[in-house]
Amino acid sequence: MDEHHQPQVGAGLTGDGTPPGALARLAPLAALPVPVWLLLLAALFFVPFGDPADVAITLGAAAVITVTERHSPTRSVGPPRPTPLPARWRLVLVALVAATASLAGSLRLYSRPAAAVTVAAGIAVFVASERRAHAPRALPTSGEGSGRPWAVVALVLCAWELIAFSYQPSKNVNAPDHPTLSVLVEEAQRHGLGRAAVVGAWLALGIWLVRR
Amino acid sequence: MSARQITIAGFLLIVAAAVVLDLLARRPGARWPTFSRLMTRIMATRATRLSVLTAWFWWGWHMTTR
Repeated sequence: MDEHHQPQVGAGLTGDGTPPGALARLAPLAALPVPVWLLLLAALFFVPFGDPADVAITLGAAAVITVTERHSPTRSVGPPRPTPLPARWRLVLVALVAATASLAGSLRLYSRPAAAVTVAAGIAVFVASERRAHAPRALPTSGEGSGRPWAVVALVLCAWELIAFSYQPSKNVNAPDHPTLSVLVEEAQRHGLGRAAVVGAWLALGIWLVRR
Repeated sequence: MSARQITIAGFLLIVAAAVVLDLLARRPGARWPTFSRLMTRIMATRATRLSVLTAWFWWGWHMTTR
């Protein structure tokens, strides 16, 4: 047989007729960390159902993780060595959370200053997390059991939220009979005290996460 | 019971399930970690750490910004 009529496997096409270059280009996608895939899925959800900022936040985080993992892949690390926070620092953190919450409570909901407070607190938490990530860590521990029960709870929560969301006439019009978590939190923020409580709890959660 | 009450009750039930799960995890010989241990495990790598904090930040952004 003339070599020009040989099946072109290895000569521009793979066995299923796909150009090898296309597969080679897709290969790095398979190597993306699972969190990046989850963020990409979230971004995909936000394209029709969220705001441009939601897409930007999730895609931005996915890009940062992809780049940082490529340049300095994460080592297999364990939990941070227990480092109890000195009482003085606890007081400072509590005062900071209280001050931020009070400030947020005094601002109009969905205003630019309220957004600025959120962004400033977020940046501070991310910076603290980056510093904490370099803290000495213990070896990974085993025998802590499976996280599956928690995954089930998280999935049920997501499903319930999505069911409530599906009753909304549009993404920006709430369904009072089927409130999502966002709607419930929005209702709690009608008054300054509620806004302060919500922002205070959110910031306290961020600090708690950074301490992990 | 109205649809609104059922929806809110569903969220409360999920929160209650999480609290029960956490309490059960504190018993000796528990087969799953407490929520705190779980999050410590999840936050142990930079990729998961950034992802969790992104979710946290997005939630705050979503609550305070339109």
